[in-house]
Amino acid sequence: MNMNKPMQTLLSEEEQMIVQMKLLELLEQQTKKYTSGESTSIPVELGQELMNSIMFCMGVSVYGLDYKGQMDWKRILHAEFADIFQRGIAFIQEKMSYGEALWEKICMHLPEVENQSMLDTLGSLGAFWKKYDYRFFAHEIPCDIDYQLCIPIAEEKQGIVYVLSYLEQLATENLFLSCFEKEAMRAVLNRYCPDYRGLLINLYEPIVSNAIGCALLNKGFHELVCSEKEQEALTSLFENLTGEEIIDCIRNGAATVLKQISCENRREEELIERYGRELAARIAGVKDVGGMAGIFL
Amino acid sequence: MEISFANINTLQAVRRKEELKECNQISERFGLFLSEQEMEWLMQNRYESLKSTGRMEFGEGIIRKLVFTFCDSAYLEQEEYATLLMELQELFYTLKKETLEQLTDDELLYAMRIIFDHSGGSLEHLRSIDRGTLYRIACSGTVDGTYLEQVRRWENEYE
Repeated sequence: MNMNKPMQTLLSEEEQMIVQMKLLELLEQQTKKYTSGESTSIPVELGQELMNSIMFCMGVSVYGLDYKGQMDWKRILHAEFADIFQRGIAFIQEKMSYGEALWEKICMHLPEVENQSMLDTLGSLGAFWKKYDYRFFAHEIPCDIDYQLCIPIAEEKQGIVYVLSYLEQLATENLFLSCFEKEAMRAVLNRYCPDYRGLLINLYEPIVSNAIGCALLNKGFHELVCSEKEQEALTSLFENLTGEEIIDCIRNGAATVLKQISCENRREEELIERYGRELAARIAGVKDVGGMAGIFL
Repeated sequence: MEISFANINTLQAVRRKEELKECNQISERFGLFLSEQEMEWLMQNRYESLKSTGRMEFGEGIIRKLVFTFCDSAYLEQEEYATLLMELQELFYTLKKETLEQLTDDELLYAMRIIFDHSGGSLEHLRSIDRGTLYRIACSGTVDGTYLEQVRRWENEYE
């Protein structure tokens, strides 16, 4: 068994052996359950997947939804691995109920501007709750998630942890979109990508960018699109600013947006803050080579 | 974390040896016995067979079941006992893989025993058997209706 690097550096050889043996005992139990005790041997690939699932369950048991594939083995070296594993299973079961309720809520409150990949993804996620075999393959994501979020979910996240992170961010993005008028959003999206309904694009990104742009120009959100003059005004605004100053400027714009849509949602605040940093980096990259026409539509 | 055969083997090694000793207690009734050296060979062979077929094994292991399934066959003799067990062990893992996990250990062993006896203790048919025939024999408990029945007829006619 090849341990991942953090484990090798943290544990002595003897401790590594203890962990390995404990994990293999757990794998043996899981194999027995998986084959209903009717087969003593399994393909290595299947064994590896069962082991990945064990590691995932133990990970969420120790770290909850913050688990990203790294385990502090020293912390649990003398604990009963089977108990940790079972607690992980219980944790997943609990999160499944929450996740399904969240998924239903998202489906009930879709944005007024439609996108086929969002609908397809939500459709596929609807089957996830039945297909997800957390007893043996808890680390897997048995559905197709095609709709792109404005900031991708970390790839290290697996199974229910990934799905919940995805759903929470999607709910946050869609809640933001619900604050704007349909026609105002359509106008921006048509400029962003004429086939925004059919292509794999994120709806939040162009809307939030333009909303921040409008806030910086002190104009309302009735018309989200920026005229050529307004784009020039934004270009002038950023022209002489340093990277840090652009970040501050975007942060102020984002704060104005949240105030104007009367948002008191912590997740929305966090998302716009994270996205704002990316937007500021893009602005800093293009401000000297062509203006804001490609950013504020 | 990747699983390696070496660690699983360490975990299982002691257990396997005890199992093989228990096997001797049963097989001795039929005049079959494994020496310490043969037990070592069987364990090494098991390790290599699992590795070559890309499998891993836990729990009781298959050797014990193999011995119990075959020890009362009229075609087993002490001189070839260990060698035959090794070949059967290798064949078991190969067939397990080829049947795509569709047969349980007991079903596969049952079918192997039927074919083994039907072939007069030869492993030739077991080595070349196709998946469909194996399923059929495992489910029906007989070679009737398979090409092996036809082979038996031809052999009888030839004799």
